[in-house]
Parts: sequence; structure tokens; C-alpha cells
Amino acid sequence: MSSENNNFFELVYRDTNTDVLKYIVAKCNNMEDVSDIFQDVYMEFADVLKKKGSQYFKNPKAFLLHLTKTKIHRFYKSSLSYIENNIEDIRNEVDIENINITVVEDEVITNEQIDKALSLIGGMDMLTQRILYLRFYIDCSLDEISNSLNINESTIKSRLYRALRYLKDKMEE
Amino acid sequence: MNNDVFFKSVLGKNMPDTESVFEMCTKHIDSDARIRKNYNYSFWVKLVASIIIVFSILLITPIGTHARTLISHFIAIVTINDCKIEFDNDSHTVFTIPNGCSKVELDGDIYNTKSYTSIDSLKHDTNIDMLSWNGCKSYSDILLAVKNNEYARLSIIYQIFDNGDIPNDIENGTVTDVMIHGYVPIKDSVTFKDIALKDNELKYSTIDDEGNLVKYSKNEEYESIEKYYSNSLSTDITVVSDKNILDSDEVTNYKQGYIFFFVYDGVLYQVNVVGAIDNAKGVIESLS
Repeated sequence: MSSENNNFFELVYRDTNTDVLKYIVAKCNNMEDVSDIFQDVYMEFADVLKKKGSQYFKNPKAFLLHLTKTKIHRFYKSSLSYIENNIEDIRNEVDIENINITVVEDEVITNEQIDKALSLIGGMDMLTQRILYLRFYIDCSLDEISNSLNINESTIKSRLYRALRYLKDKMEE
Repeated sequence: MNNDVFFKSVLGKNMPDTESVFEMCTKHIDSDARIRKNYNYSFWVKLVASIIIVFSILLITPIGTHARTLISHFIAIVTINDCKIEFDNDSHTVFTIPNGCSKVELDGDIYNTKSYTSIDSLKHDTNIDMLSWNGCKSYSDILLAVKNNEYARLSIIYQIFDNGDIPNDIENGTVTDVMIHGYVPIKDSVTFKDIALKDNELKYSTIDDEGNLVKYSKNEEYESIEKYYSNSLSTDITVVSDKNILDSDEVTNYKQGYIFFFVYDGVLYQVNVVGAIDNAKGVIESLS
């Protein structure tokens, strides 16, 4: 039975882990919580699978996304996502259609640079952090980010532009 | 360096190691024993630090108020979206603002707050014989908050499960959260602004792990669904559903939220229960 469950788990895990991660990044209040919530979701899924067997899951993906929503809810004690409303659109300030900023020109990145960049990103507002993680870590398209965060693409582009410009300036200091 | 490579190196520090999570889960499926989850420190700090009601821990400025006893009666109007529900209190309520409250200012409102370790001490300190639930003897918080010297809110928040973590294998409909709030007016004419529920406008605050006040908004939707007479409390009870919690019920089918409003012995009660409606009503019927 456990072999059958493991095969089932692997199939579901490979099929869902990116979507689950994307959902957590879009809804969490702090990027440092993502690993804990992600782990908690799949441990609970494994726990239910172990107790009930694979037949219990009529729609594993729907179950997992619901479980993720519930875990975030519990994690923040009734606090679901909060996306800032004070989004400014800077379309008129810059040419956001052509974001072409390389944050670090060096070919090799040091641990010090990683720590510095992580600290700078951690100091950004949550919406910008979500956009960076979704775009550069999970490789979401602008359209996918737009749907995940329920904001328009021009806002995403303007946030990306400002974040990259800010990071480039600070990393060169 | 290409931005994709750069950000993968940087952002990956905060992201889960998906292969190790996968291995941990498959080992768990194979094992007989339950594996202890490998949380990092911030998880527990957040669990401990996060609370629903801000004034429960914002004990900033202790003030040396003297106890004051007040007698009042009221007609309360609870607003659910645009629907007004009137509650009459035909008896006089004796309430004492106790010594040792702490003063908190939030969004222009002044709160005098006090935290208790037992319901008996809350009752004794305030002169209010507050209803409580016998189904659980563990509490997250027992609180008093006097708002703007206009009205007092006495709160009992139960901790039904250890560490507040709800097991995944509970029976459908099991009650998972119970909060009792009792409202007592201090002035003759007062509006209980805190209990005007409106869709998509719930705002609340918590304290983060560095002690900072963090404000949130939440998209809740409310609907008045039922009014019934409670034989055990001998009073009319209005039931409001929290539709968003109901909507999240598709898969695991155990989270259903209801808010009960009623007046009992000169106190306006708001009781929040998460569970099936019959179980939630069972909580109300067992209040004493």
C-alpha cells in the first residue's frame, strides 16, 4: 500500500508543487514563511494520503490548493493575503516596455552579494517582492503574475523596473 | 550576470527545497511514526505573536485608574451590511471599570485594556456575570477593552486544539473556534461600532515577531440567515453566516462560520463559532 501511495504522491507532487508554491508566494505576508507553509501543506497531504489512501482524493490538485489556502489562513491566524492598495503607476515616468537592466554585471556572484541582495529585496514592499519571486524564481509570465495577484500588467512592469533599477544602484554601491 | 541566474541564486535562499520536502513526505508515508515537522523558528514566533484582537497585547502605558461602577441600560442596533437588527436590554447592567487597565491609542480611539488568566477574575473585576462555554477549559485570551469610555467589550477566546493547530482528521462539523464577546455600554447613548459588519470591510491588526503593529483587511461577506428562540437562554438569537468561510468548505467540509447575536442579562453578546450549524447552536445552548 505504501508503494502505491508513494507513486501517487510523486505524481501529485510533480504536478502541483509549482502551483502550490506560486499560490503561497502570492498570498503570504512574509517570504521567509514560504518554506514552512509549503512543507506544512505537503506533510499534511502525505498524512491524509497515509490514513485514507489514494482513493480518498477525487481531485488531488483542488484538495491541495484548498489545503494551501487553509494553511495560510491558519498560519496567519485568520489573515489571508493583503495586497497593498497604494499601487502607483509610473508608466509616464519611464519606458516600461523595455526593461533591460542587469542587476549584477559580474559573471560570478559572491555570498556577500547574495546576502546583500536578499536583504534589499526583503526591505521592499510585499507586492514588489511577490512580483520578483513569481517572475524570477517561479518563472511566471507577466500574464500569470497578473492573474495570480489580480493586478494589471503595467503595474507589474513598473514595479519590476523600479525594483531592478533600485537593486542595480544599491548593488553597485 | 543574467538576471534569471542572479535571482535564482538570491531568491532561492527563501524558497523551499522541493526535493527534500518530497523525500520527507515519502518517508512519512512509509513510516509508522509521525515525523516531526521541521519548522524554522519564525513559524513558532509568529504563531505565538499573532493574535486576532490588537488590544489584547498592546499593553503600552499602565495607568492608575480607580475602579468605577456604572449602571446602564441600552438599545443596541447591530448592522449586517445595510440591515439593522435592534436589541433591547430591559434590565439595568452594573459594570465596573477595574483598576490596573492599560491605555492604548489606535486610529484615534482610546482603549483601556486588561488581560485575565481566568473567567472568574474577569467576572469579579468587572461585576459582569459573563456567559462562558463549558466545552473547553483552555483559553487563548480573556480580555477587557473599554473603548473611548463609551462601552466595554469582554472577550473570551477559546483554544480548542493544542497550539491552535487543527488536526486534519477531525469529524465533519466539529467546532474548531469559539469566541465570546460581551458588550456593555458605559454611556446612556452609545453605538457599538465594532459590531457593524459589512462585506469586504473587515480590518484588524496583529503584532509581528518584532513587536510592530501590522494592519490587515479581509474580504469577508456576511448574511443574516436565521432568528430563533433559545430555550436555555430564554432570548431571541440572530444568526449571521460568514459566507467566505462557508465557501472554503468545498473539500474538507469542516469549516463553517457563524456569528450569534443576542442580549442576555443586560449584556449584548456576539459569539463567533466555526463549525457546522447544529454544533454551533449546541455551543450557544450550553453557555452558562
